[in-house]
Amino acid sequence: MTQDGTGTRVTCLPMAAPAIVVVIPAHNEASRLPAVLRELGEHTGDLVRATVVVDDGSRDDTAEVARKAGAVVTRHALNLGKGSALLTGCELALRLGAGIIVTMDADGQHRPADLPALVAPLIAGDADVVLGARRFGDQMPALFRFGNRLLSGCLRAFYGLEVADSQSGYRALTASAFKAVRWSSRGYAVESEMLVHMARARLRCVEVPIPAIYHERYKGTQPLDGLMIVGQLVRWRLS
Amino acid sequence: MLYGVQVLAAAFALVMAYQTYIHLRRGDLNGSTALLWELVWAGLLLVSVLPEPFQRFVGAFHVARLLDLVAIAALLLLAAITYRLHVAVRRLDGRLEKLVRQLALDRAGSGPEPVDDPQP
Repeated sequence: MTQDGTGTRVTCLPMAAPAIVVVIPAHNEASRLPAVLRELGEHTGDLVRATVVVDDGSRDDTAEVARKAGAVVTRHALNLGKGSALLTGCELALRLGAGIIVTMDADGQHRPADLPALVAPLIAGDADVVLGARRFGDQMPALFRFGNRLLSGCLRAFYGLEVADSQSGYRALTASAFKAVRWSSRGYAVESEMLVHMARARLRCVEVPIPAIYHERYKGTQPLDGLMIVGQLVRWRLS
Repeated sequence: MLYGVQVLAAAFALVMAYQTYIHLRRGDLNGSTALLWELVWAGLLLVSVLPEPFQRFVGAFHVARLLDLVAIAALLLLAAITYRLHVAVRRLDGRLEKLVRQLALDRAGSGPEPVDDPQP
């Protein structure tokens, strides 16, 4: 790791480093997405081979702004949900030759500056999956904190999985790990299902601390989604 | 002498029979499906207008009134239809998702879509 001109820590890749492709599922994020893509370019430089934006049936100009920002864009003609958009993006990333796939949100919740730290354990060969773990401070709304802890507790109880932040969407995984955790969830259960498959496949997982940033309380996983995910965890455990 | 509830049930059966005929003419239902539904509405009409011949079933099924028997039969029919609809919608949902994702992967990076957004 070295410091670049802006003080950001940048990972120096070995010559044969796997290609990194960032996957961003986006739904009506035309206003926030350009800043995310701009920051991604500024903070990662040559580290990232391509950024894939999956416009999940947006009604605004999400696809257009992403295209203008230089991302590889694809579009769902209908809104299918985060899980489906991520799956399409990851499959496209594999077609682009990705050795490492990084998933992040389109609304600026995840700092591109943290990406080098996120992929470092994969590049070093120390992990198959890296989770960006948010700090459960005042930045995270109390209800989200409770829900996250509940779901993490379920994962621990049902699968023996010890993760601090089971619902973080900022993740990095190797191409082979993606094939092992390939999910069927269409909505917000995708993060949990990924972990379930990860536990079953006995993949190595590392957590990297990231800050919790919330712009919009009413987007993302809501209490009812959380309850549905608990139900799904029980169903997967029994299946 | 018809009671109010009998008139209501008969009117409902007639309206639904007409609706079924309309949907058959529009091609929304095929002949056999329309016939099945017309038999259901004809049965309801018959039980509503001429309940006496069906009174013997009341004792056989151990229910207090003929209306209770019709209500129970209707609930069972509803449950069966709901189940069938649930399976059909899930199947359709899966096919739609597969199609949308396949189109997205095939068109990836090929520029703006030529069709308008189908959503309102």
